[in-house]
Amino acid sequence: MELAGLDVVIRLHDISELPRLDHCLFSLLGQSIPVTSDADHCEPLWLHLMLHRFSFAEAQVVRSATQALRPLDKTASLTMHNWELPEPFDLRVPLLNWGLEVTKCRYFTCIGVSDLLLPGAYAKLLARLRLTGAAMAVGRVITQRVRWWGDVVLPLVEIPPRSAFVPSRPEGADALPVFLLDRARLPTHDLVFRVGHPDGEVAEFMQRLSSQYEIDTRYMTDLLGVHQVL
Amino acid sequence: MISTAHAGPSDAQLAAVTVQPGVAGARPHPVLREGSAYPLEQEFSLELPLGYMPPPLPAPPHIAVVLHAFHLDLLPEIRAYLNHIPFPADLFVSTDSMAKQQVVEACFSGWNHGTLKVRVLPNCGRDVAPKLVGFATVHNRYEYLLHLHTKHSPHASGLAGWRGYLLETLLGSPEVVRGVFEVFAQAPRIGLLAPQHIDDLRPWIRWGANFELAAALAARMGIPLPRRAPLDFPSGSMFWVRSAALRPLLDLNLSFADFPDERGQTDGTLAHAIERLYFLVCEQAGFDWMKISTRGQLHDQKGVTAITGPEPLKRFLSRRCVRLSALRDETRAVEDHPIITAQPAKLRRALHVLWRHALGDALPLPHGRQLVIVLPDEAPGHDRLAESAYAALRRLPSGALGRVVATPKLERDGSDTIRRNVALRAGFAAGADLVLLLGAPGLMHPDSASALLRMSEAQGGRALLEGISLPQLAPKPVDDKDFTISWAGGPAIAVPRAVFNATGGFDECLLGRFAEMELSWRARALGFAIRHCPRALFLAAPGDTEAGPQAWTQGLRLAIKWGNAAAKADFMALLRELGEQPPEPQPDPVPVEWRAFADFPRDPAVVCRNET
Repeated sequence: MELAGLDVVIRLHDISELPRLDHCLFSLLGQSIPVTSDADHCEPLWLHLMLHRFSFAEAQVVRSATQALRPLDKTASLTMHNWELPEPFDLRVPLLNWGLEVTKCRYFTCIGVSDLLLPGAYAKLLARLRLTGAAMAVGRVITQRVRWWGDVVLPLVEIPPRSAFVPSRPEGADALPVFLLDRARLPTHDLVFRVGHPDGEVAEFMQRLSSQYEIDTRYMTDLLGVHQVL
Repeated sequence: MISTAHAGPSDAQLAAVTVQPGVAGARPHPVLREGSAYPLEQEFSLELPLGYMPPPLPAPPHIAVVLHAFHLDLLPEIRAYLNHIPFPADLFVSTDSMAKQQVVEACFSGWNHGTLKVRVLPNCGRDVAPKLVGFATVHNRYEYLLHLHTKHSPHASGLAGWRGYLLETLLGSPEVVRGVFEVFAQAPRIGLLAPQHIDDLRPWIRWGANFELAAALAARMGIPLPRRAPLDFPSGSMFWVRSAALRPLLDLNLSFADFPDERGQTDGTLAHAIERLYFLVCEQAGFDWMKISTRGQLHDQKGVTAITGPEPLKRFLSRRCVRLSALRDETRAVEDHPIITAQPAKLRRALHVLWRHALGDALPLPHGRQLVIVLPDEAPGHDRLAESAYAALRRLPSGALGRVVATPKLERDGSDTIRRNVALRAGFAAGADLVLLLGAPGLMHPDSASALLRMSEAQGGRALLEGISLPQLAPKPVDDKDFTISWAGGPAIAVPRAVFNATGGFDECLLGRFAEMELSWRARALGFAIRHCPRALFLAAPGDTEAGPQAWTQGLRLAIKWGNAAAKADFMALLRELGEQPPEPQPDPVPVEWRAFADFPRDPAVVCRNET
């Protein structure tokens, strides 16, 4: 049965990424999507955390770490899925495909723990999908170099030679765009992530869909998120 | 997370170390090698805090802190460290102008550990002449002194974390200082405790261009100094000392005329020569010296010795002190000019310790600290923000208090700046120690309130704090040692009571970020710190750009008030292009000596960019 709202799949491969997950989830909890007919209510956001073969203790640590954000999730729900089977060794693609299997909403996306979205990013993409009937809507994400240490993250800023006053412009190479797809407009056989692409499974997925189906690129000129790299 | 593990020998291992005979009685005989300071495996330093609780002293030590304040922007940081002294301490501060004197006095206003004396002294002899000449008589009146100065080390970027390391080692916590005085109490023969050399500095432990000056001065004190004499000294010129241990140097009755005029020299002055003689002076006075380290600060932990009780401390003190004067037959290279390169991996350990300190991780929050969160005007999303603020308050540490209030309504129309000031007044009147002003609808991370309150406490309630708007699209440059920023703005600004009392809040003739910058600059001029709180996370949609005639007018007011002719001309030109007139009335300018705290941009347009 199709659920209202949208599904977001997040992969977590390493327990050391917990602080990044916290920031990523926090930015997702800011993605309130007002219901078109009732501005006082928001569409639900179904967050699926796909764990890469975590031990029971590690999974408990993740659960405990995400508890702090629970009070904020009035319209969001977080579910953890832990891949416990010993095979395959590389779970990058299997976790995404498992995410496709377990999610039930019409609208689907995935995001990395190093990605942060601007408030309203998904609302904008969802509005474009509904307006245009496109199979997928994409938005611009830029790369930002940061220094991570524990739960402290400092963006690396080029300090101007004369003044420490000037905020830098949001510069950075474009990263993989944020996307939202409408499963109702895509055949099931294309809804699969595949291995082997040099730019990664998500890039392959987006490229393959964009070559075959209508894609809305309205927000490729507007910044919707940041991809943090060390 | 921070590793508290250390690789130095334990006191049990220490007991088993073979003592080499031959020099200085039963003390080990360091083998000095060319191209290095003492070999690390033989150069011991005492880890502080001690691994046991020292017994209370029979009476509080008689302490004077002698601080030379040249770079005033570092004073908030130093004041925060000085708060760790768990004993009464009188503070003697020197600086080089009347204008700076006022800022220093403002920065240390309310110093309640003891008396405060600020003196204007000639700008020569770096920190050494002001301390030894300007405050020579202070050394006669106090048994213990702490020598400090506002250390910048721009000449070698690899040493960027040096000041923080020195302060952390000398004053990192009350337990560190108690450890220092436990050593003084246990070993009356110890005259001076100085931080171990920071890793990146080791190649610089050389006479360099200072030998001739040092030898001449040493001769006046009766200290023979062969050209190839072994060398060690309190690098950075900050240390704890018994005044008696400096007596030979003080008895020279040096004057400011003995020191060359300040021309930005990085080596080869009398001050640099004296820095290299401190240990020898101490020995000449009949005392020993030793070096200290703070847990986890040094990349190379060899020789860093943890002590678990009074007896191991006595063993360490009896076996691990080196006398330079007993090693004069040793030889070592004299003239080296090493090139230091930054090594980020080595700095990380030290940085992480500094971060913990700056963020208040290890600091207990006193009972009853109160945070008031002021919500912005009602707008879509207001309720979610309010809920997230309440959620954040529920996660405050035990004993801390919190309230959420709405921005007050005014009887008459008033700007947002006026309303912010009203909110601040109301918050502090209600008993707040810290008032958090939220500027836009969004979401507050549940850990943000706690992070702000802790960081404020770590800064002694003397820092204006800025929360993070995620993602950080236009991040300001942040000092990666202590999270200093030049101004606090954006959707979340936390104002402590002391800042509000000293500044009166925002300038009500200014708006938005112009008012935020102005408050930050005034706070800096009055001796407060401006800090970025990396754990206080907020979500807020990017605001609209402020570019336009109103922004140029605001910029012009700011430029006039802060006496920046270039920025004034830029904003005037922008207004003329739009056919606008300059604002009337024009603001009164701030004192001239404050102008250095205003970081005006080269391009005035950037003032008005608004990416949160």
